[in-house]
Amino acid sequence: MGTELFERTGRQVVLTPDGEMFRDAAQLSFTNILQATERLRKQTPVRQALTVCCTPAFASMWLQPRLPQHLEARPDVEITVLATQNFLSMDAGVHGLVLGSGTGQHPYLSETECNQLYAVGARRINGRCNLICQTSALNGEEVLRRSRRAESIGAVGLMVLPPYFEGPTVIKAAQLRGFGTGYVRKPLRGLNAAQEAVLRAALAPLAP
Amino acid sequence: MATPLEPDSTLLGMPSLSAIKAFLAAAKYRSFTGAASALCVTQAAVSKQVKELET
Repeated sequence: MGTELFERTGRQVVLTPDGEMFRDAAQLSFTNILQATERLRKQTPVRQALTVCCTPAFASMWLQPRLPQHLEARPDVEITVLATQNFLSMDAGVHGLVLGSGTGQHPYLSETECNQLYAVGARRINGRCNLICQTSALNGEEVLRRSRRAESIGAVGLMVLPPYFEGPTVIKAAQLRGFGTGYVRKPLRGLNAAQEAVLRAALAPLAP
Repeated sequence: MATPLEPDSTLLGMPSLSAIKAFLAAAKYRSFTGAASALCVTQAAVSKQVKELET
Protein backbone atom coordinates (compact mmCIF):
# COMPACT_ATOMS: atom_id res chain seq x y z
CA MET A 1 0.00 0.00 0.00
CA GLY A 2 2.95 2.27 0.50
CA THR A 3 1.78 3.67 3.79
CA GLU A 4 2.39 2.99 7.46
CA LEU A 5 -0.58 1.44 9.21
CA PHE A 6 0.89 1.60 12.70
CA GLU A 7 3.08 3.90 14.68
CA ARG A 8 5.44 1.65 16.52
CA THR A 9 6.44 2.87 19.93
CA GLY A 10 8.35 0.18 21.76
CA ARG A 11 6.08 -2.76 22.46
CA GLN A 12 2.97 -0.76 21.75
CA VAL A 13 1.55 -0.09 18.30
CA VAL A 14 -1.00 2.61 17.55
CA LEU A 15 -2.97 2.94 14.34
CA THR A 16 -2.09 5.83 12.07
CA PRO A 17 -5.04 7.71 10.46
CA ASP A 18 -4.52 5.57 7.35
CA GLY A 19 -4.45 2.52 9.57
CA GLU A 20 -7.73 3.50 11.19
CA MET A 21 -9.42 3.95 7.84
CA PHE A 22 -8.16 0.56 6.70
CA ARG A 23 -9.16 -1.08 9.98
CA ASP A 24 -12.75 0.16 9.64
CA ALA A 25 -13.00 -1.05 6.04
CA ALA A 26 -11.41 -4.41 6.84
CA GLN A 27 -13.57 -4.87 9.92
CA LEU A 28 -16.73 -4.22 7.95
CA SER A 29 -15.72 -6.66 5.22
CA PHE A 30 -14.75 -9.30 7.74
CA THR A 31 -18.07 -8.87 9.51
CA ASN A 32 -19.79 -9.54 6.20
CA ILE A 33 -17.72 -12.61 5.52
CA LEU A 34 -18.20 -13.84 9.06
CA GLN A 35 -21.94 -13.43 8.88
CA ALA A 36 -22.16 -15.32 5.60
CA THR A 37 -20.00 -18.07 7.05
CA GLU A 38 -22.13 -18.32 10.18
CA ARG A 39 -25.26 -18.49 8.13
CA LEU A 40 -23.92 -21.42 6.13
CA ARG A 41 -22.41 -23.14 9.15
CA LYS A 42 -25.57 -23.51 11.13
CA GLN A 43 -28.36 -24.53 8.88
CA THR A 44 -30.56 -24.16 11.93
CA PRO A 45 -32.71 -21.03 12.19
CA VAL A 46 -30.27 -18.17 12.40
CA ARG A 47 -30.17 -15.60 15.07
CA GLN A 48 -30.62 -12.55 12.95
CA ALA A 49 -27.60 -10.33 12.71
CA LEU A 50 -27.88 -6.59 12.45
CA THR A 51 -24.80 -4.48 11.88
CA VAL A 52 -25.14 -0.81 12.69
CA CYS A 53 -22.51 1.44 11.22
CA CYS A 54 -22.47 4.87 12.85
CA THR A 55 -20.27 7.54 14.35
CA PRO A 56 -18.79 6.96 17.79
CA ALA A 57 -20.83 9.94 19.04
CA PHE A 58 -24.08 8.44 17.79
CA ALA A 59 -23.13 5.05 19.21
CA SER A 60 -22.45 6.36 22.67
CA MET A 61 -25.04 9.13 22.93
CA TRP A 62 -28.02 7.67 21.11
CA LEU A 63 -27.58 3.99 20.55
CA GLN A 64 -25.98 2.77 23.72
CA PRO A 65 -28.69 3.94 26.14
CA ARG A 66 -31.30 2.26 23.97
CA LEU A 67 -29.50 -1.03 23.40
CA PRO A 68 -30.33 -2.87 26.65
CA GLN A 69 -34.04 -2.33 26.12
CA HIS A 70 -33.79 -3.51 22.55
CA LEU A 71 -31.75 -6.58 23.43
CA GLU A 72 -34.37 -7.51 25.99
CA ALA A 73 -37.23 -7.01 23.57
CA ARG A 74 -35.55 -8.82 20.67
CA PRO A 75 -33.13 -11.41 22.02
CA ASP A 76 -33.24 -13.09 18.60
CA VAL A 77 -31.40 -10.19 16.98
CA GLU A 78 -27.69 -10.00 17.38
CA ILE A 79 -26.41 -6.46 17.05
CA THR A 80 -22.91 -5.53 15.99
CA VAL A 81 -22.13 -1.86 16.35
CA LEU A 82 -19.39 -0.55 14.14
CA ALA A 83 -18.47 2.90 15.33
CA THR A 84 -16.39 4.74 12.78
CA GLN A 85 -15.66 8.26 11.64
CA ASN A 86 -14.61 7.04 8.26
CA PHE A 87 -17.78 5.98 6.53
CA LEU A 88 -17.98 9.51 5.27
CA SER A 89 -14.60 9.36 3.59
CA MET A 90 -16.37 9.83 0.32
CA ASP A 91 -15.31 8.19 -2.87
CA ALA A 92 -15.33 10.12 -6.09
CA GLY A 93 -18.81 10.23 -7.54
CA VAL A 94 -20.76 10.83 -4.35
CA HIS A 95 -22.91 13.85 -5.19
CA GLY A 96 -24.70 14.25 -1.96
CA LEU A 97 -25.99 12.80 1.25
CA VAL A 98 -29.40 12.87 2.87
CA LEU A 99 -29.51 13.40 6.60
CA GLY A 100 -32.32 11.34 8.07
CA SER A 101 -34.14 8.56 6.31
CA GLY A 102 -37.67 8.70 4.99
CA THR A 103 -40.37 6.23 5.90
CA GLY A 104 -39.03 5.30 9.26
CA GLN A 105 -37.54 6.92 12.22
CA HIS A 106 -37.02 10.51 11.20
CA PRO A 107 -40.43 11.96 12.13
CA TYR A 108 -40.08 10.26 15.49
CA LEU A 109 -36.82 11.93 16.37
CA SER A 110 -37.43 14.69 18.86
CA GLU A 111 -36.70 18.14 17.53
CA THR A 112 -33.54 18.25 19.65
CA GLU A 113 -32.34 14.94 18.23
CA CYS A 114 -33.16 16.13 14.73
CA ASN A 115 -31.16 19.32 15.25
CA GLN A 116 -28.26 17.30 16.61
CA LEU A 117 -28.38 15.07 13.54
CA TYR A 118 -28.20 18.10 11.25
CA ALA A 119 -25.39 19.66 13.24
CA VAL A 120 -23.25 16.52 13.35
CA GLY A 121 -24.00 15.67 9.71
CA ALA A 122 -23.17 19.12 8.39
CA ARG A 123 -19.94 19.16 10.36
CA ARG A 124 -18.89 15.75 9.04
CA ILE A 125 -19.82 16.51 5.43
CA ASN A 126 -18.09 19.84 5.75
CA GLY A 127 -19.10 21.11 2.31
CA ARG A 128 -17.64 18.12 0.45
CA CYS A 129 -20.91 17.27 -1.27
CA ASN A 130 -24.51 18.39 -1.50
CA LEU A 131 -26.49 18.17 1.66
CA ILE A 132 -30.18 17.28 1.64
CA CYS A 133 -32.22 17.10 4.81
CA GLN A 134 -35.17 15.00 5.70
CA THR A 135 -37.36 17.47 7.58
CA SER A 136 -40.47 15.41 8.15
CA ALA A 137 -42.22 15.70 11.48
CA LEU A 138 -45.60 14.79 12.86
CA ASN A 139 -47.00 18.30 12.56
CA GLY A 140 -46.67 21.02 9.98
CA GLU A 141 -45.26 23.70 12.26
CA GLU A 142 -42.41 21.46 13.23
CA VAL A 143 -41.74 20.61 9.58
CA LEU A 144 -41.31 24.32 8.95
CA ARG A 145 -38.98 24.72 11.90
CA ARG A 146 -36.92 21.70 10.83
CA SER A 147 -36.81 23.03 7.27
CA ARG A 148 -35.56 26.40 8.40
CA ARG A 149 -32.94 24.69 10.51
CA ALA A 150 -31.92 22.58 7.51
CA GLU A 151 -31.59 25.68 5.40
CA SER A 152 -29.47 27.37 8.06
CA ILE A 153 -26.94 24.53 8.00
CA GLY A 154 -26.61 24.77 4.21
CA ALA A 155 -29.06 22.17 2.88
CA VAL A 156 -29.64 22.47 -0.86
CA GLY A 157 -32.83 20.44 -0.76
CA LEU A 158 -35.46 19.00 1.54
CA MET A 159 -37.29 15.73 1.77
CA VAL A 160 -40.70 16.09 3.36
CA LEU A 161 -43.34 13.48 3.97
CA PRO A 162 -46.81 14.75 4.84
CA PRO A 163 -47.82 14.27 8.46
CA TYR A 164 -49.80 11.10 9.04
CA PHE A 165 -47.84 9.43 6.32
CA GLU A 166 -46.50 7.57 9.28
CA GLY A 167 -49.07 5.07 10.45
CA PRO A 168 -52.07 6.38 8.52
CA THR A 169 -55.53 4.94 9.04
CA VAL A 170 -57.31 3.63 5.95
CA ILE A 171 -59.11 6.93 5.43
CA LYS A 172 -55.96 8.93 5.93
CA ALA A 173 -54.14 6.58 3.58
CA ALA A 174 -56.75 7.33 0.92
CA GLN A 175 -56.29 11.05 1.49
CA LEU A 176 -52.62 10.61 1.01
CA ARG A 177 -52.98 9.66 -2.63
CA GLY A 178 -51.12 12.16 -4.68
CA PHE A 179 -49.19 13.37 -1.68
CA GLY A 180 -46.17 11.12 -1.87
CA THR A 181 -42.80 12.40 -0.99
CA GLY A 182 -42.21 16.07 -1.59
CA TYR A 183 -38.74 16.93 -2.72
CA VAL A 184 -37.68 20.51 -3.19
CA ARG A 185 -35.18 20.29 -5.99
CA LYS A 186 -34.08 23.86 -6.29
CA PRO A 187 -31.54 25.21 -3.85
CA LEU A 188 -33.26 26.97 -1.02
CA ARG A 189 -32.55 30.65 -0.83
CA GLY A 190 -34.34 31.20 2.40
CA LEU A 191 -37.72 29.65 2.92
CA ASN A 192 -39.63 32.66 1.57
CA ALA A 193 -43.32 33.33 2.01
CA ALA A 194 -44.20 31.66 -1.28
CA GLN A 195 -42.30 28.49 -0.51
CA GLU A 196 -43.75 28.40 2.95
CA ALA A 197 -47.21 28.77 1.44
CA VAL A 198 -46.54 25.85 -0.90
CA LEU A 199 -45.41 23.73 1.99
CA ARG A 200 -48.45 24.74 4.04
CA ALA A 201 -50.79 24.04 1.15
CA ALA A 202 -49.30 20.61 0.70
CA LEU A 203 -49.77 19.87 4.36
CA ALA A 204 -53.17 21.50 4.91
CA PRO A 205 -55.47 18.74 3.59
CA LEU A 206 -53.83 16.36 5.98
CA ALA A 207 -54.29 18.38 9.13
CA PRO A 208 -56.35 16.60 11.77
CA MET B 1 -14.81 -18.78 -16.97
CA ALA B 2 -12.09 -20.49 -18.99
CA THR B 3 -8.62 -21.04 -17.61
CA PRO B 4 -6.93 -17.65 -17.62
CA LEU B 5 -3.85 -17.18 -19.77
CA GLU B 6 -2.60 -14.21 -17.79
CA PRO B 7 -2.17 -13.89 -14.05
CA ASP B 8 -5.27 -12.24 -12.57
CA SER B 9 -3.93 -8.95 -11.29
CA THR B 10 -7.13 -8.03 -9.44
CA LEU B 11 -7.05 -11.19 -7.38
CA LEU B 12 -3.31 -11.06 -6.96
CA GLY B 13 -3.51 -7.45 -5.85
CA MET B 14 -5.89 -8.22 -3.00
CA PRO B 15 -4.29 -8.40 0.41
CA SER B 16 -4.38 -11.89 1.85
CA LEU B 17 -6.99 -12.65 4.45
CA SER B 18 -4.39 -13.83 6.92
CA ALA B 19 -2.52 -10.54 6.58
CA ILE B 20 -5.70 -8.61 7.30
CA LYS B 21 -6.41 -10.91 10.21
CA ALA B 22 -2.98 -10.15 11.61
CA PHE B 23 -3.54 -6.44 11.06
CA LEU B 24 -6.94 -6.45 12.78
CA ALA B 25 -5.53 -8.39 15.71
CA ALA B 26 -2.64 -5.94 16.09
CA ALA B 27 -5.08 -3.02 15.94
CA LYS B 28 -7.27 -4.68 18.55
CA TYR B 29 -4.53 -5.62 21.01
CA ARG B 30 -2.29 -2.68 20.19
CA SER B 31 0.76 -4.87 20.09
CA PHE B 32 2.25 -7.40 17.72
CA THR B 33 3.01 -9.72 20.61
CA GLY B 34 -0.58 -9.56 21.80
CA ALA B 35 -1.86 -10.13 18.27
CA ALA B 36 0.50 -13.08 17.89
CA SER B 37 -0.73 -14.86 20.99
CA ALA B 38 -4.36 -14.13 20.08
CA LEU B 39 -3.83 -15.76 16.69
CA CYS B 40 -1.57 -18.57 17.98
CA VAL B 41 1.32 -17.57 15.73
CA THR B 42 4.72 -16.04 16.37
CA GLN B 43 5.27 -12.34 16.77
CA ALA B 44 7.54 -12.41 13.73
CA ALA B 45 4.70 -13.76 11.60
CA VAL B 46 2.37 -10.92 12.59
CA SER B 47 5.09 -8.36 12.08
CA LYS B 48 5.92 -9.75 8.65
CA GLN B 49 2.32 -9.77 7.48
CA VAL B 50 1.66 -6.22 8.62
CA LYS B 51 4.84 -5.13 6.90
CA GLU B 52 3.57 -6.84 3.76
CA LEU B 53 0.37 -4.82 3.86
CA GLU B 54 2.30 -1.61 4.38
CA THR B 55 4.66 -2.09 1.45
